[in-house]
Amino acid sequence: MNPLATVLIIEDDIAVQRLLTIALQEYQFKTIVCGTKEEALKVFKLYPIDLVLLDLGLPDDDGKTVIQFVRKISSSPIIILSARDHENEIVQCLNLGADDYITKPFSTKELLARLQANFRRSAQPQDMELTMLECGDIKLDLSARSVLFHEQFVKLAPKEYKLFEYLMRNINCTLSHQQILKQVWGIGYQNEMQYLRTHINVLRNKFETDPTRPIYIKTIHGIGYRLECCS
Amino acid sequence: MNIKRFVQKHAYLLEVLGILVVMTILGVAFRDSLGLVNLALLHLIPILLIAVSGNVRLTMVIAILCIVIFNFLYIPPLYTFKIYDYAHIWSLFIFILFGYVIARQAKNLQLKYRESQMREVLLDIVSHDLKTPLSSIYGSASLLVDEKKLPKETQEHLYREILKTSIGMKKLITNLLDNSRLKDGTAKPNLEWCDFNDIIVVAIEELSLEYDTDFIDIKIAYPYLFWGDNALLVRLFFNLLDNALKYSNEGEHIVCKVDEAEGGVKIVIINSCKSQCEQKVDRMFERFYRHKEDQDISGAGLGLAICRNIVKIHHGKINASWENETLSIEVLLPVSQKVVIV
Repeated sequence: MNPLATVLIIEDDIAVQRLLTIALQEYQFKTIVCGTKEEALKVFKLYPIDLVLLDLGLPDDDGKTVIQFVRKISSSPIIILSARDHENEIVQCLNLGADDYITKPFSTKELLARLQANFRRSAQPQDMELTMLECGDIKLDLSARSVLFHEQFVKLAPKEYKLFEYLMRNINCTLSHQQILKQVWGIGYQNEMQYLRTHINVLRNKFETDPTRPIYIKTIHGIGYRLECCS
Repeated sequence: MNIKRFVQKHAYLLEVLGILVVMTILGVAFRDSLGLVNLALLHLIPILLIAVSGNVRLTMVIAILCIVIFNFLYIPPLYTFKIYDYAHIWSLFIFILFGYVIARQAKNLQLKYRESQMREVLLDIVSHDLKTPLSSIYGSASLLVDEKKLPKETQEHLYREILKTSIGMKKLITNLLDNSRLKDGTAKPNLEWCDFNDIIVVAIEELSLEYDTDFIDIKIAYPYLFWGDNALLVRLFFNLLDNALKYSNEGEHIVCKVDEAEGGVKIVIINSCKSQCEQKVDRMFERFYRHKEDQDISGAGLGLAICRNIVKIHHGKINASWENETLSIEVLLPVSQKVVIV
């Protein structure tokens, strides 16, 4: 993780602003706080920003326009802050190019874990041709299209492999149901939830010691899935 | 048995029909001395009575019935459905309009009344069950701010207290929001293909913020996807398991089973519970029901009431039974279509 990274906090609630600033500065991040969309866009043009923390309920405009703006000029990770029952909105944001989200109320521990995961991912070389992806005890060989778990070869059906590869390529990233369905099954399959549900169930049975308490394939309730890797 | 239930369910409608019959008899008996205007007013009584119940459709039915009777018995030519005078057609139209306007008004009023009732209940819980954890957080936080020289362990204890209590508050607020969403009757389930394993994953993860969930033995022997409301089913499992964890004897195992059953899927949650469970088995799904011995256990008596509503939305059944110091809650959800998990 980059200890001198600059985080742009776009949040209109002063108490939450303060909490975020204290927590992030404690962990050596530089922070810039904006209360409105207008301000945020100005700041984003002036300073190099490494990560954006965006609250959806801004007073002057919908936060989603900020995502569109940022995505046009930069690939810095965007993490959404949102209330629990705004699942549709979160999904829309992920589809627009946000990288992750966290719901209020959250613990600072959760927030930092999410920040670090997103920094790690954005620090990875994007264009370089990868041949091997790793996550805990799982190794995926992209050229051989094979997966090893605890050094044992795991047999996967073609669609299972395609789904798993997509998850492995987006380690620690929250992917919406629609994103996954579109990428793995193709355009027109965005609402065919039954495919995704059954394949996730099968993958869990192959990679999780206890499928009801998964450590790799996490369900992000109402949003999608995330492949989690700690190391 | 069925007739009795029918009568109970439609008591009000039958009463109104009775009144309509009485009015008709009175009308026919005194037809000559009353005159058309008074006869019309007489027949507005049943329409008014059914309209105040707020049921627009039934009001329309009764209004049309009144029109038919009125036309047949009083509007010349008598004992025919013919109408010669345009003014009479207008009176019939006004019957319908009258019923419609009153019924709509009554419906609005009822909604408002229900809302205000809900608000009152919410206020009750807010004052009781949110004030307690809030005062604990307030107390701990102010102590930490004011007394800088507290021993390290005490500080640690206070921090943990704040964390624990706020998790509890978060849970209560979630329940309150779910409850008001489910209770207002307008909530429609958001149906999609659900995987029970996936649902339990989410519920367990949320529960493990507060409890040691290793004591829960989960057995899923249902190799299909279920057509239901994913978010609500998560709340169902969360609340059932939360209840089991809260009331069971510490360290004892809780069983959560999902099996195929005749015509559907059966969910069973089993936990140990001493005799206090026996007394409340019949009432435990009522909203805000708390047994008097449970004062030291946190909660507002909402969790299982929410479960009952969620099961109802899925057209299922929920039952509790207690035997040999074991409480088991059984949920039966009917299945009309399913997808096999291969």
